Amino acid sequence: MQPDSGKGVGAFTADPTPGSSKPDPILIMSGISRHFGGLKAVDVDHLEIQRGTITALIGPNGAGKTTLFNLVSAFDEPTTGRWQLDGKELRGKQSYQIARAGMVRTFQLTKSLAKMTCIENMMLGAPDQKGESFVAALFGGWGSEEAQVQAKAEELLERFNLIHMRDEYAATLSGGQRKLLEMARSLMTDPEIILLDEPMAGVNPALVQSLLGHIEALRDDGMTVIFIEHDMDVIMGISDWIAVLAEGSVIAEGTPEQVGQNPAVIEAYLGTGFDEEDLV
Amino acid sequence: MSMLEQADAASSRPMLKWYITAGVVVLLIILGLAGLETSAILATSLRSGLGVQGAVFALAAIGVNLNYGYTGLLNFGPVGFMAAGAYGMGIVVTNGGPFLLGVFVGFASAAFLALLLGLPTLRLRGDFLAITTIAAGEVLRVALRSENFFSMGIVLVLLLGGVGALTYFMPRIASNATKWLMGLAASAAMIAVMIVIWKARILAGETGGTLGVPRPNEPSIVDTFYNWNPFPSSNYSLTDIAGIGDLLAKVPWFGDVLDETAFNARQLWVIVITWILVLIASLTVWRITTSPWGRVLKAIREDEDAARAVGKNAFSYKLQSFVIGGVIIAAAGMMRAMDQAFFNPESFKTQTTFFIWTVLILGGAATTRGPIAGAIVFWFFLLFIEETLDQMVERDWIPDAVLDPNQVSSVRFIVLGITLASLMIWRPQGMFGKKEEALLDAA
Repeated sequence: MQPDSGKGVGAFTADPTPGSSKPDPILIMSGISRHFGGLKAVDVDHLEIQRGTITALIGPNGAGKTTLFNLVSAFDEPTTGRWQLDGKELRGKQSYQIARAGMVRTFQLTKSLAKMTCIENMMLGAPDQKGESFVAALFGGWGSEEAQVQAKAEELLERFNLIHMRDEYAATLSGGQRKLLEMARSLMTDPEIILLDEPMAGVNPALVQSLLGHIEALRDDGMTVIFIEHDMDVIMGISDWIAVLAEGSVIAEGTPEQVGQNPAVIEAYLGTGFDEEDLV
Repeated sequence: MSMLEQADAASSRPMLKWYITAGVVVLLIILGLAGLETSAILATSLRSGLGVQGAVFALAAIGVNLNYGYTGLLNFGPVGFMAAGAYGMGIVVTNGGPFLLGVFVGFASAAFLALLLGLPTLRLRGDFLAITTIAAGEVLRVALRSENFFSMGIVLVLLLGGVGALTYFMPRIASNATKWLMGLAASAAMIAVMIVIWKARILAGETGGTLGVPRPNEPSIVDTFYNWNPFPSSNYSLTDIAGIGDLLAKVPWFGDVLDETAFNARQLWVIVITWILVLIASLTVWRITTSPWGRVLKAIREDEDAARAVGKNAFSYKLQSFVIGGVIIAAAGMMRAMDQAFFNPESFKTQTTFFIWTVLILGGAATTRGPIAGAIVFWFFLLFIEETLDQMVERDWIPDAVLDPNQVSSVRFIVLGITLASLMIWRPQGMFGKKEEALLDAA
């Protein structure tokens, strides 16, 4: 039986087994592993991410979720493995090339550019700017493009409720606002797929709802979202698909309902010896 | 513009200028009443601050400012780039090459040094770059001391470093066989160049070892430069330069100051050219750092992973910043060589590096006016302290047992050090830096 995930926009059908193939995968990882000395931090045999969905990556602490993000975004080098974005081989590419290829990420410890204003933070994100070459910087000719970039940046700031902080240094923002700013900056690159590393961590509960709204809106715009999160309520609420990592490997996949009932997941999170009823 | 910034722009920055001026005036009055020759003190300080020293250090600090202030690169080897510029030019000119070719070679040497140092080290974290650059500056100076170093020693070290960097990084730039072959071909070419240089001894002894450039019986390195001097031989006081005539010269005390500040035509020519270069470098740096290119630099300064995460090739930008900064610093090295008509390895001690950094921190990093104001103020006060102490020792106000005349030039650094330490405590952003940015750093 292959139940529909029931989320409308992000709905699709696939086997709820680890490494199952998806009808229209945008990101395919195969045989990715990362060893730190004797420790195997990540050992993902096969994982496909369905286009235009919100996929949650969950797992206990130390399961290798962030390491997997680091590997596919080339902020760390895998020991083995390859991965493809839309059929393009990404192994051996550098992190900035992966961002240009259409896959951007945010960080668990937010990387807002402290001594730059919000609008500067945003405008940095725009891809292929003419004025980013030294010769153009010196001789000009980037003014009109700059105006477009600025308009786009302001639009996104508006959408993320940050427009009132436009000219403030990013360092003066609250933790939650920085998460928003970082997410908005990533969107300036017009990505196809965005990797969010704990977007809700440390965010004021009042902001969480609006953040969730933003993430769903991205999916509704046709973007693919992968996010790491710990809060089960959040995950169950917005994910179309969930992949569970434990000790570096994918131990389960499926819709929120399927994963919630999977004994392997319960065991990974809580250890053995619990009844399913204890979880409710 | 935020409230804080407005308040800062409106009050403290212009006020600081007046604080300094008022402080100097009060000091001069006190010293004058006490019986010191204040016109000489002021004149000596002005000559240094507005003269060649001020201009050369402003120029070098602008280069370091591009590296550190805007890109966050801790370049602790500016003196190495000054040496590369001066030696590159000197070797060409003493061999009968045209002056402008020499200047070009000077710039090219600095750019080459920047690439050589930058390729392997710019992937390191900030503090490692600081260690590497300060060491590279010293290695260069010590190597230049030996008469025949170019025949083998440093060429070997530098070129092997270059080959190593190429073979190491070529495959990383794009992992395919073509790039590997290119890397191997480039290495082979560099080894071939090395062997040719060794066999032909092209550069053997050209650096003059400890004798410096030019050695006795070698052509002067500055003739062409001074042949272009349009100023007729005369003494030029500050009022002549400012074009306000000699009205002030008739006022007794001012007249003395102006007399003693006067530059001869040769000095004036170096000073004018160096300040013009300062202006060009400042405008260039201002223009490129206010462009999207500069925005990427600042992002790298704040967090280079964030820049990479949105698709910016951080390494390439750091290398560009390093090369451009190095070229600007090389101009400072060449102008100092023009002023002194001679240099040897001892002209490029680490002290110069620390002075340049002091100038930059004093004026305020990541600002356009900072390096210029910093250089003027730094040299003004260094000479102010020295001249005042000199006169005090001369008049036996300070007994020789406490301070003899030979020690004055060392004591000025103690006083300067205390001044700088106070500045770091009460005004960490320097004269022109934004206070709120310095506060953000502390947070």
